[in-house]
Amino acid sequence: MAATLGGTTLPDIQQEGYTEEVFFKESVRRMASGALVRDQVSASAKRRFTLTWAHITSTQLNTVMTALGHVDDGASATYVSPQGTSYTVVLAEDGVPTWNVRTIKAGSEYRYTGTMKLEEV
Amino acid sequence: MARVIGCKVWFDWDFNGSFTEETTNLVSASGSLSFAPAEESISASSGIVDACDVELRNTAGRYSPLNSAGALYADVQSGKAYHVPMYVEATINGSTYYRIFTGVAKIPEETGKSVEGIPTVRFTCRSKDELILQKRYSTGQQYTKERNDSGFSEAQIINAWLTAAGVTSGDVTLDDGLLTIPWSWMDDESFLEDIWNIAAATCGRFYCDADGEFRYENAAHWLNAPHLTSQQTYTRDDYQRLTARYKDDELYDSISVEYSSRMAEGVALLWEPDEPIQIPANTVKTIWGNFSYPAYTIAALTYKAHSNGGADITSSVTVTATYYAQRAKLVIDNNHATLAATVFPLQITGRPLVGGPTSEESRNSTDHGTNSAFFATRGSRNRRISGNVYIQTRSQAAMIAQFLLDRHETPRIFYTLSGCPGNPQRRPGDLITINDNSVMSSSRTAYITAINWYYGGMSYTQDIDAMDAATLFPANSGGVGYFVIGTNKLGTADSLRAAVFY
Repeated sequence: MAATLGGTTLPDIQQEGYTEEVFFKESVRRMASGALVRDQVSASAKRRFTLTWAHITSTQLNTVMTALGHVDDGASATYVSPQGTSYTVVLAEDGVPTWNVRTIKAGSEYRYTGTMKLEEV
Repeated sequence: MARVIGCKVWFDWDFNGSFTEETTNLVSASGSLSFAPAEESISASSGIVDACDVELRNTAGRYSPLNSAGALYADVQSGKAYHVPMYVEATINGSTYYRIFTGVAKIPEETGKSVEGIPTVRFTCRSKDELILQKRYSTGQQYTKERNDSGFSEAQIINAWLTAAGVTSGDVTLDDGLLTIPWSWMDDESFLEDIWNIAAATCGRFYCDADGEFRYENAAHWLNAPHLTSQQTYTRDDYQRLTARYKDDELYDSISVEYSSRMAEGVALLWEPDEPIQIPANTVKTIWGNFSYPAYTIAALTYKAHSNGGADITSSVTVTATYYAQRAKLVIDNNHATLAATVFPLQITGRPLVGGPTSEESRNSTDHGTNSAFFATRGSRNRRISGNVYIQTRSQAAMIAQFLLDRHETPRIFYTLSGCPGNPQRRPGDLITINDNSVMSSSRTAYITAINWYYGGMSYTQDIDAMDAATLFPANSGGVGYFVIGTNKLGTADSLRAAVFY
């Protein structure tokens, strides 16, 4: 199924262009003994989602940007993963896509490739 | 194993006693809790007002004093955030939060939007004793005699000063006083600075703790629970770096303590103006007369008034005096309809408290200590304590000299434990155990003298300064301990004998 963000259905993601990373909101310090101390601000594991689109059309690009508009001001939104699981997410620290533009054929047809990262709150 | 940390920050924006939690905007917080060792404060005549910095995300100009659309604009505009009550609390692995700082905010420092980061506001805060640092006061004249007659201890004087400063009794915890301070007064002086002097003059400490409690701890405070029991053991698992160092500014074999004894003399002139005072007709004028010495009693206020032509118009002039310890406020009312009054002479007589720093007591390692051999080959180091008006008797000066000699004649180790995982329950004064076989062959106990903490970046850390506990209290180190009424007995041969605490 297609992923959605803030109710906006996202274009199909590139094959192998999707990752879900499990992490803890924590910092790790090494003590004088060599032991590691982990400070977590939440005991629950969180997920970080990386969504990569390859060679999408400008129409699809606009759809992604519309979805991005739900979270690009620091707000949270509901993200439904391709597996159908819902998460409350914010835009990750380096989550804003940088779009690579490619000319697919002679003329004015462009295609776009980029990655958006979301982080569960 | 990971630990779950938490931190909350609260402000009472409108001073109504109800605090607003601002945790959702908390970027970072850092602060210090510290007190100078008692022996340092005696010479420095000062304590330490603890500090805290809180950085908050300034969402939609919430904390902006110049943004009328900000949610707190009414409370922070025009510098209104000054001295707003606040506190910070932290937790480890649980729902119980412990205060790690209580104080008041200073003016916020705002950083607007930029390419370097989100808009933030930083509040530099001070512990609650800041509130009485800048508040100056003069005690009433009659109370100087009353406190002397009652034999006030240092704790009673501190309590009187705090009450006068408007501190509620529920926010005050005072140890019993150890000494009688014969004479106490304030003459346009800072409450806090004067209390620091009083505490220092009895080898005690005064500070405001992380809970916002004003505390006086006497010289024997660390001989009582819970300071006799180590609260936490620190090993290399518990810090990133340990440094241990001797400080030679704490090393002396001879201590001299100056004291200022005073006595009430017979009735004498306390004050008269340097020049005649001119009061226009139908005019009230207020002047202040500063005495050279504090007044034990006031005997009389006398004055005469005459016109510029020399006519006696004393009956048209009234002088109303309010007497403070070392000054008088005189309200002079010339109610004559047409004639200006020259008030002269104008005199206040009474019994002055005369005296000053004319004597001192000394103690040295050779005659009164145990470590003179150390200095025999290294040279003598002498320390002189002077300038504290609350050191007033020979016995008090002797106690301070011996107390300091016992602490100073042996080189003392100070520790800094850097990068400790934060523990919100640690406080200055806690006895801790340090065990690091890369530095010491067996564990040492030490008293925490300062905690510098930081919360942010998903971590909570503390840097801890501590003072080695060995030989701080020689009778404890020697095994006999200090005399406890109801427990110990007098007599050199008795198994329950103990040393009297100074």
